[in-house]
Formats: sequence, structure tokens, C-alpha cells
Amino acid sequence: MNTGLELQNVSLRVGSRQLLALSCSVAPGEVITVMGASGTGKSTLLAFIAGFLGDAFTAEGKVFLAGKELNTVPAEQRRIGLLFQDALLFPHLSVAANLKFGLVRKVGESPEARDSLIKQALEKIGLAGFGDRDPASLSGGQQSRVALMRLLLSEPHAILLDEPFSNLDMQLREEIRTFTFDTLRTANVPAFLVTHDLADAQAAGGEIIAL
Amino acid sequence: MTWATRFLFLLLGAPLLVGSVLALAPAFAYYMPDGSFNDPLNHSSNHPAGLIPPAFVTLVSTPGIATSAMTSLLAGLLTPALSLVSVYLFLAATQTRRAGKLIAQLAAPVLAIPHAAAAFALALMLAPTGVASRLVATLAGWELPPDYLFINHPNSVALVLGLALKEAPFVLLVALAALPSTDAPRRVALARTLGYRPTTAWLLTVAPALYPLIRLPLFAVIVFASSTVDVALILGPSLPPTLSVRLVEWFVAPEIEQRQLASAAALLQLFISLSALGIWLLFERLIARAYATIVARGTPREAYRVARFEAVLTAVGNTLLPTSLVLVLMGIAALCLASVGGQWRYPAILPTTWSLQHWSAALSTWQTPLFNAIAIALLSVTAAIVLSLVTLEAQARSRAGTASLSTFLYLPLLIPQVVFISGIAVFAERTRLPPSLLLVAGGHFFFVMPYVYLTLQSGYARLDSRWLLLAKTLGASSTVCFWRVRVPLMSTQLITAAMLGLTISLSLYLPTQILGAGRVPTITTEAIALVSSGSRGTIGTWALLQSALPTLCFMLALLLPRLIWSKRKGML
Repeated sequence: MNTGLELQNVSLRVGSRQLLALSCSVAPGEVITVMGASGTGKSTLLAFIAGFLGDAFTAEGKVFLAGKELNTVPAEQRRIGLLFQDALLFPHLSVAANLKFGLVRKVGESPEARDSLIKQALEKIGLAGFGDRDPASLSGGQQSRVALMRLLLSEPHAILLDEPFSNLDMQLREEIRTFTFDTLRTANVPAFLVTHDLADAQAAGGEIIAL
Repeated sequence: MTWATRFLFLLLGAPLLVGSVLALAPAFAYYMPDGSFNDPLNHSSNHPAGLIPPAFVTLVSTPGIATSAMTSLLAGLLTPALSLVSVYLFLAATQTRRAGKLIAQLAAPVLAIPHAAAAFALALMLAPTGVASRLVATLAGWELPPDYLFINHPNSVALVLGLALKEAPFVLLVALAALPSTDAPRRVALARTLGYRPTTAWLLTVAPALYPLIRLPLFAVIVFASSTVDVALILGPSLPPTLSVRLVEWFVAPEIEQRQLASAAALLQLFISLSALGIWLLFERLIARAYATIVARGTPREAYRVARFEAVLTAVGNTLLPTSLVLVLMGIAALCLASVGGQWRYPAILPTTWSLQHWSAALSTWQTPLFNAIAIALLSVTAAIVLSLVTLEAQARSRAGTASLSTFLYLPLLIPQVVFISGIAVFAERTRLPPSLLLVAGGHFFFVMPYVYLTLQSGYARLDSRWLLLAKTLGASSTVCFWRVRVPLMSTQLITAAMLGLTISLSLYLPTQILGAGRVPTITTEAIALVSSGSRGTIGTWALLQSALPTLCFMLALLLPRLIWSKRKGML
């Protein structure tokens, strides 16, 4: 019985062309990295794990999360969080409302309790007092941190990262990378990173699979 | 195809089919030799074989019917031609220049002005005692207005101009929306490196690529111009009027024979509008062939002739469309003057005395028409938005195709309004549906729906799909995704669609007049009923009242998103 994320004999095809085939598992608090040039099906693999695979693809194999098979579970019930290349903070919501969007609703929890949770979350990412701000007024690094915190507040059981640092400039990249991997280790969830950058893979500090 | 798409096909298709059949069927009614009447709608007893239905005999022998039909046909061809030429030359001459962008911004408010109000404005500008003539008279020292006939002239110049003034901005906005997908700057740059001058380069490289993208809206312009009623009533020839105007006269007449005559005329109207489309298609081919010949000649080397050609095209492009836009806006200003003017002696540029009597007279009767107009607009637009969203949301969730539907939605714009609407009125009579606000709103729905749907469809297409993926990975259900992500992120398109729909509904004349049987007056029907009054002040007042709400909608479409999202920079 595995408490992490496990792929069993996963194989993805477009028509008759095989994109990739792999089996692997990631334990909580670990990051596994899948590396490959563009067109090798990295993003397709993430879409398959998260439950968004398009009609054009055929997939075989199984995804397990904490020992439970996910293949037939709809995306929004999989508890798999996704971190994109861009922060993608909802432009119509304040910073606090962005964080609240994914916050898991608990029975009997008061609005005040939720607010103080958000306050603590903002403090954790060094953005205390930013709750009412327009996300468009935040710097790129601040946006990335809010996006990561929003993801964690939704209490995912696994996290997928799709080249999360590729749109950041060199200096910011280093800082956000360290912040992200430290936070993921503390959060103790299995993480699955796809990237074409070796430095990302090395910073992740886990197993590296080259496609 | 999703169930919602099917439902929409049925909802739009069935009334279109029934309306068209019922509009045309009474033309085939016969009087039996014994004097009884055989109506194909009531019972299907066999017709005397080989006889031409009497309604057609009457139609053919109606004095001036050929002239009426020809006027409609010409208006249907010249209006889109003039609009297309002015828009193409304008785009070719201005291209990426800032002045061109500023002028193009004038087009949107002109589009919001109802056809009838723009027609009144044009009349007030160009009539013998109009503002243009007064300006010339002041400069040239004329004492008396010049002796010419502009409005209602048999040559229909005023009709075509009035239509083109409104249709050119429409074509311009459609063309501007499609322009980015033609990669225009690079095409022009390439042609220029091969030795073509800028305007010519645009016309040779961008124009052919742009045309297929604006073709369907142009077809709608052809059908509309060949069958318009309100503009023809105001500016069109009167002896005889256009086919569409006569058709309505016959349709609303109490005698059954007139009704049959109207039906035969509807068939002729359908034929005329389709002929206009057919002739247009023929010209498309001829022009495509001419283009091929011109392009095959290669880069011209005779510098003098090329420069002169380029200069003429550029000059026309720089002036034609801007002048027409300015003409409408000046005309609206002239309507304002007329509405508060008392005496206005020729050739004074401003009224000689001022008076508020036109406004006080109008304000005593405007409540019911205003209430009706707003209620009809809100009902039809709400229905159109809800149905569009349901259909688009169902399509988005099932990833089914949409192309066939958006072409189909153009159908209500490709069948002459007057044909389809009179058929719906017959249907309402037969099923004993009394003329009511709801029935009129139902009629408006067909003309509002295409624009609302197409606006929202492009909103659906443009929304970055990652927003919805993201929301789902954060645990949001489809319903939450729709209300808390899709709707707010598309709020600008929703507002645009709503305001566009309201503008169209508020300006519609024919469906209101025919389906309301004169018992559901709106600002638009009242304004047009005043044509015959001939009072400049009264007409000016009502034309302004008619323009006020659409203009307000237009401004709201611009302002509302800014107000709602003033604290969210990422939304603007």
C-alpha cells in the first residue's frame, strides 16, 4: 500500500503514435521530475493524471493516489493540484478571494475562522496585509507565491507542476524555485514536476526520469 | 451536436419555416367558379389546373410594380457595394495610422443610432432647405433654397445614401474584428518590398483575404437593404414606393384580396432579395477574375500612372467614410437644433426662434411607447442571452462542433424581415394569439439572437481554457466554474452582447409594427408614424428620443466594465 502518487504502466498515444510509457511512484514530501524536450508528451501526461485528457489521445495504465485508483474520478474530485507556467490569479478576485477560492470548506467553520486562516497564509508567504489587493498590482514573484499558497489551501493530495518556473526571469527563478520546493517538502505531499530545464530537476532533489 | 444546439435549431428554424410558408401561401388562393373561395391554408381542395393564381395577376397588373421591384433590387445592390468600397478604401488608405483608429471609433456610436433616426438626420442635412444647403447659401449669398428633389426622389439616391450611412459603420466594425486574422501589416510590408505602394498593396494583398471573413454579414446587408421598410418610408421614392413598403401597405389593409396581393408581393420580395444575392455572387466572380488579371500583370513600372492611381485611391479612402460618419453626427446635431427650434427661416444656420413646445408635446405621450420599447428589448435580450449561454455551455462541456450553428443563426438576417414577419403575424392570427408585447418580443428575439450569440461565442472561444482547468483542480464543480469563473471573466462580452441586443431591439420597426398590429407602440414606431407630419421640430424630437436609449446602451457597454472592475486592472 502506497501513500503517494503511483503510475502503473501508463502509456499515452495519439492515433497509432506512442508518446510515452512509464511506471513510477512518488512518496509524500518527494518530488519526481520528468524531463524531456517539447513534443514528448509531458503536458499530456499531466493532463492524464489530472483528468483533463483530450479526445485526441488514448491512454492506458492506471493512476493511484494514496492507494485509490483515479482513472474514473472526475478532475475536480481527484484532489490533484496543478501549478501552471503562469500564476493565473483570477483577475476578477482580490488576493484573499483568490486564496479562498480553493479553500476546503469545513463543516461548522465560521467565516471569521476562514478569514484568519487566509491571514496566516498570507503571512506565511510574506504578504501580510495584501488580502484586499488587486492581483494585477502584485509583482511576478508575489503572484507566484499566492498561486502556490492557493494550491496548498485546497489541500491537494498530490501536486503537478507544469514547467512552473519557465516564465520567470533568471533571478526570480532561483528564489521562487527554492521557495516552492521548500514549501512542498513542508506540506508533505507527493509532487510531480515536468520540465525541460536540468537546473529545475536538480533543485527538486528527487528522482529524475528522462523521456 | 448537443441537445441544447438541437433545441436552438428547432426554436429558430420552425418559426422561420412556418413564417415564410404562411407569408407566401395566401398568394395561391383561388376563387372557385361558383364564387366560393378556396384558401390553401384552410382546406386542400383541388385547384383548377393550369390557372395562374389571381393574386399574381393582380400583382403583375399593379401600376408601377416593376419600378418598385427594381428600386428594391438596386438598393439591395448599391448599398452593400457603396459600404464595402468606402470601408475597403478607408482601411487601405489609413492602415495603421492613428487618425484612422480615431475615425473608426466614431463608427460604433453611429452604429448605435437607429436607422430611422439616421435617415431623419440625413434628410435634415441634405434636403433643399437642409443644413448643408444653408451653409452653402450663407457663403454664396443665396436668398432662396435651391430647387432640387432629394428625399423621395424616384432615383432613390437618398434611400441608398441613408442605408449606406448606417451599413458602412457595420461593415467597418465587422472588418476591423476580422482584420487581425489576415496578418495585414506583414502582407502589406511584403508587397511594398516588391514595389507596390501602400494603398494599392493593401487592396491587392489584404482585401482578398479579408473578404471571405466579412461575406456573411455583407449578405445580411444585401437582404436588409433590398427589403427595408422604415428607411424606405422616410427617404425612399413615393411614386411608386419600394416593393417592401407597398407589401406592408397591402398586408395591413383589411380586405382579403389585399392580403393575398401582399402575399404575392412577399414572394416577389423574396425573389428580389435572392436575385440581389445572386447578382452579388456573380460580381464576386467577375471581380475575383479581374483581381487575378491585375495581379498577374506584376509590379507596375510606369511610376507616374501608378502614383496618380495610388493618390486617387488614398484620397477617396481618406474622405469617403469619414465624411459619411461626420454627416450622421452633424445630422444628429441638426435634429437637436430642430427639436428646440421654433421658426427657422432660410438660409439661417440656427433657428430664428427657440421653443420647447415639441419636447413638451412629446413628453406628454412618450411614457407608453418608452415602456413598451424597454420591456420588449429586455424580454428579447434576456431570452437571447440565456439561450446562448445554455447552448454554448452545453457545447463547451461536450466539446461538440459549433460552426454549422453560427451560419444557421444568420438565417433570420438572410430572409427578408418583411416576408418572415408577415408570415408569423398570419400564424398568430390563425392560432388566435392576440397582438401583444410578448408576441412582439418574440419577433425581436430572432433579430437579436444572431448578434448576441455570435458575441458570446467569440467570448467563449477567447477565454483561456486554463482558467477552468485551474478552477477544477482547486475542486470547483462545473456550476461553480460557470458562475464564479466563466461569468465574471466574460463579463465584458456579456455586457457588450446585452447592450448590442438592446440597441437592435430598440431600433426595430417592422416586427414591432406588424406583430403589434399598431397596438404596441414603441418609440421607434411612433417616430416613423410622424414622417407624414412633415414637422421638422416634431420629427427631430422623436428621432432624438428614439436615439437616446440606444446611445445610452452604447455608452454603458463602454463604461460598465470600467465601473465594475475599477479595482481590478487585470480585467480591463
